[in-house]
Amino acid sequence: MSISQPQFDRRFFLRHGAAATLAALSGAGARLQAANTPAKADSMILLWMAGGMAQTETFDPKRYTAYETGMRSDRVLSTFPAIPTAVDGVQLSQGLERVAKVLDRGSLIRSHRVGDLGFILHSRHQYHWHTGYAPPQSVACPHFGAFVARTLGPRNPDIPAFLSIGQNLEIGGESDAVKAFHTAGFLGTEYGPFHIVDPRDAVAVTRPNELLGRSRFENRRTLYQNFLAASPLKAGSDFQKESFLNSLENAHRLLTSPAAKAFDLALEPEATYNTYNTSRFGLGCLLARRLVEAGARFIEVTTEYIPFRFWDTHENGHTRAAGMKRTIDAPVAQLILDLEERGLLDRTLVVLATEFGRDMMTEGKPGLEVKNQVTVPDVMTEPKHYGMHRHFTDAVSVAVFGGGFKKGFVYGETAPERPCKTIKDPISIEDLHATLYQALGIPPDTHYEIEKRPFYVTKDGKGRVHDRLYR
Amino acid sequence: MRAAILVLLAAPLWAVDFASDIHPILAARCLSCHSGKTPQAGFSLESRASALKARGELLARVKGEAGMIMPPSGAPLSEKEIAAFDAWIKADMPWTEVGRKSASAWVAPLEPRDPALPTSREAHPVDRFVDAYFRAKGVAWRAPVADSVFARRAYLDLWGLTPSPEQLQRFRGDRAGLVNELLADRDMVSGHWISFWSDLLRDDLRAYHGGEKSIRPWLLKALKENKAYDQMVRELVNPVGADSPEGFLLGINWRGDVNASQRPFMQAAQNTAQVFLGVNLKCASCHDSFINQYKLQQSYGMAALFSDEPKLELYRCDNQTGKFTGPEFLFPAVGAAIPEGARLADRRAAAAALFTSQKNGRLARTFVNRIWARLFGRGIVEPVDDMDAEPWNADLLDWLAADFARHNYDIHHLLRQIMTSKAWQQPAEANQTSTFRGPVPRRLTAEQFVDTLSAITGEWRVAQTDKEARFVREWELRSSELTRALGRPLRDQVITTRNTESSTLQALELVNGATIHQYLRRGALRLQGKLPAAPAALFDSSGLRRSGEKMVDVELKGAQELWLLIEDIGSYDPERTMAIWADLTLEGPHGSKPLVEIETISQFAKPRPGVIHPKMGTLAMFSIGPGWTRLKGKLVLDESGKQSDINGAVRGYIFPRQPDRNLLAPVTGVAPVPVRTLRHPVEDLFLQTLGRRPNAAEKRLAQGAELEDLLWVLLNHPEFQYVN
Repeated sequence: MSISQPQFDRRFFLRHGAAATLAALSGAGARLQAANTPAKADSMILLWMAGGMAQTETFDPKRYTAYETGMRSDRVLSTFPAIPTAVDGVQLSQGLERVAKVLDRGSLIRSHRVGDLGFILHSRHQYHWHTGYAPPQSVACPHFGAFVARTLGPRNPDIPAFLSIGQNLEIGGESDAVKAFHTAGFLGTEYGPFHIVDPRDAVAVTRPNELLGRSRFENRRTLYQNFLAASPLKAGSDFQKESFLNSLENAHRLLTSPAAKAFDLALEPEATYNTYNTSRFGLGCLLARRLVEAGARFIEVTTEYIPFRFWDTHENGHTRAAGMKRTIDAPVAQLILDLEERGLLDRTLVVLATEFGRDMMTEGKPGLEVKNQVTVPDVMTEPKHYGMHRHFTDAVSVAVFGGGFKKGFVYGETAPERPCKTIKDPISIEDLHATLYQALGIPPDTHYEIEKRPFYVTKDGKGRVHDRLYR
Repeated sequence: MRAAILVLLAAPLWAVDFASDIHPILAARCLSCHSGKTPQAGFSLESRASALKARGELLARVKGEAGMIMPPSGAPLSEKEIAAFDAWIKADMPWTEVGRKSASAWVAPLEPRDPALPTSREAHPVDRFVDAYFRAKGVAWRAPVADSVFARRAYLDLWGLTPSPEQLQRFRGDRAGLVNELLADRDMVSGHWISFWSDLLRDDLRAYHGGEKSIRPWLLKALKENKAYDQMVRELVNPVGADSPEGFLLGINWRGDVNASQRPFMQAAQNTAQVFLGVNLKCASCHDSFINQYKLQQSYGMAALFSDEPKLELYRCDNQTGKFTGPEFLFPAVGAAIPEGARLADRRAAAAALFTSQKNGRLARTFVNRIWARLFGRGIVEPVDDMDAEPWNADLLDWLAADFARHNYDIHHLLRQIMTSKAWQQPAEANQTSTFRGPVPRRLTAEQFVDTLSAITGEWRVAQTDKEARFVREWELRSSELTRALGRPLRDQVITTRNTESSTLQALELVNGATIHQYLRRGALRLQGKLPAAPAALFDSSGLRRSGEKMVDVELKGAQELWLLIEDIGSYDPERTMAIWADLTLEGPHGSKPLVEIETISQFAKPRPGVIHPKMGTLAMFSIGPGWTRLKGKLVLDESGKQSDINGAVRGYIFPRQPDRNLLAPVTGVAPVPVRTLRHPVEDLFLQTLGRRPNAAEKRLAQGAELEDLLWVLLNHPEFQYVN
């Protein structure tokens, strides 16, 4: 017995449109563009610096000014000295020493310009970056990872194609906004993210629930099958019901597959575990590495967005940036080294990105300033004033390792003096996405049909590939 | 069945989709030879029928395992492409027409039309149309479904949950009587249908910090009154007064600037056109539509009905055009354009009149088609948001619409009219061909699933306000991971057809989710009378918001343990909400002692002397032992020293033993349906889930199973998961 073919008369549905029952077959019909693009990468890890990572304190250091009480705020461009990197003439901010050592494995983009959405709202910019579309939208937009999962499918059928690690979805006032883009939108839940809030719990969510235990779980499945066999009404040749049973089997397989050991961080050597164990984010990087090895397609690991925490530095920016760098430096660098050592870096795109940068003075973009949200005194009277507290959208740093991108390459340039605008090779969200999608073998005008209209992976299909970033 | 599961096991996690996975390969690599009048080797891949002829050979050829490798030139197909072919062939080669559109001469009428009832042996007006249709198509009526199936359908479609065994057994076959009886319980009916309306009007409990407003109180009241549909529309497009549903026109707004096509009045144009007229103006909000006949100008004309600007400048793809329009209804034949200078209130009032004008037959047609689609699983016009498409029976649609309007747009009348027809009582049939034959099986909605589960087990979700707690149905609260997985949408857009696809992530929630296991574990214990009674709190602060404190001064009544808990009840930033227990002191005949001095293994912060600051939502337990009679101190919510608006909102409790986290405060009032006890567990559960008794084999299996496992099996049984 095989999965039955639904006996629909196609002409009927052409005339009358697709019924809900046909959604699985034709609801979100895709059309890959004919041009076949060879993929440079098979998987992608997105390292999300949630809350707005200050570029001048991390990947694009400017003139360093040490703190002094009574100093004018507008004098400060960077609150850390710059350090050398493995790439001649390229500097990073102090605190990223390990990342600096692996910078020769990737491309550093300093000219990413994100959207002008008016009064800044983190979750809205995050939605924009993750889907390529600024909300509100008239259709539910899929997350980048959902587009990838939908288009490329899983690499290993026992590992979810799209995983999201580290973001609690219940965070108070912006919960709804964060949930809104952590979905596959109109593509349907098959392509949605498999959520893991805490990497240390990953093994638990991929095993039979502890309330049950494995043997009861298995017995229950046997019982279920016996009941199906005993039912007087056979499920028969109903495509929907078969697909329901198929999904249950897939879930069961995922929970019992040997591949699930990829989720178990306890299997890592202690030294490795400790290197990554700076935070939940650090362990998320380790989990991401294990999952890529096991065959995941798209993984997002986030430092987590919670209003006013982590990279969302509205005050005490200097101290907090130092803390965040301690959180990310070792695990990010180790992730690159581990992937390289395993021969996986060439076919894995590792992208470190954030919703916008930061500046001491400018909110928004020069020329397109928006309402300030943070009071910055003209003169600093206490150390908590020292740091990048405003949201800057004109120049954002993005690091891309592996996956066919150039090595030891810097793309774009920002002005040495405030407002430190992008002055060379600006790259928008659409273009950056196009460049990433293309590397994965997905042309930027790939689209899926919703409500009879095409919906593109990059806005209107117009993302332009910046192929100078490719090797 | 076992064999089937083994075969399914081999299928890939992803479902193969002809349009996206197969057709692109055919188009790029096969059709240049294998199509047209004289395809290569006499074999065409242009249709499923002809492709089927190559079924046995196709895979071997592209793999290069037999004959000449295909395609004969260029690179062989990739592994992924071959895998897609493999999955496609295993799935019996499903096929959809791609890229070809049939030209239709159909033009949807605007005015109402009241066709005469066809001559027929059938008495019910719906059946007379269907009978005429069946005769023309050569379809024979089948016997209506059995009473038990009818009752299950009726309860699910009117109350949103399955009938209890008693309800099922009490039903003696008066079908119209049952429909009337169910409709008479307005609380139950609105508790089910409110989800349909919330999807349609995109109402939800949400905040995007840009201004939106729930219309829920208005909606619930309207449903309980069975407010006439045309009156609902009038109030939705012309909201007046504090209790009006103005949130619908207000739309969904995120803080900041929006694209020209998503400004509030543009959203209003798109939503009113989609919901009330079955017209998609989403494309035409940026440019003249490529998929239907609507123009940018028309979208802006509609938008101007809801704008206070004298006239609106058209933006094409977010660029100004220098062209302007005043308010104008989408169908000018219904009524003249409104003067450009009209005030907003007058525009809206005019809009209300236009939408509900007697000349606008589209209003009733669109709605009756939605209800038909809900009840049958598929509309008379499909998709339900494209009312310009051709119905499979225009007379039936038009008559139903006219009948609906004639009965003052009474929604319950419409439901009754459809559900009492023999057409609706036909057996559900999944594999319908081009001809309508009756309902198709419908997947239970997330709400139907959870509410039925609650009705069976007595485990309801709890809605907690500052002062009270109530058992509620799923719709009243925010969605959970379980219900989102089962298709309850976020409602950022108008949802008229939920995605009912099965998916692996959904199945993971059903097979392994914490939520469902909690329900089942507690439910099974409750049904067996083994669920421990929830302890009453010694202290309950009730809601504490922003800044403030509540004195603690309670008698310990012999308690030897104290369990402290502070729960968040909606802070903007729960992580930074500073709620603490201060100066809690035990008192007894022999003196007093600060609670912090009692040894405990619980973890919490002690920011200042005498202060206990547990992590929000985390229990702190103290074994105080005997000898204490009172506890004094206070619960403090402190927002001083926070630069940002945390809007703290907490509720603190102290319990004498481990609390039941599902039932912290005593629940007042009754459950949405009475809590039952199982008299004949196996029989009762079968009746309430599958609507039938178990056969001998099922009985045997059930008797050997634990109640919790049996519940799980039945709730995941395909017979339960679908409305048949």
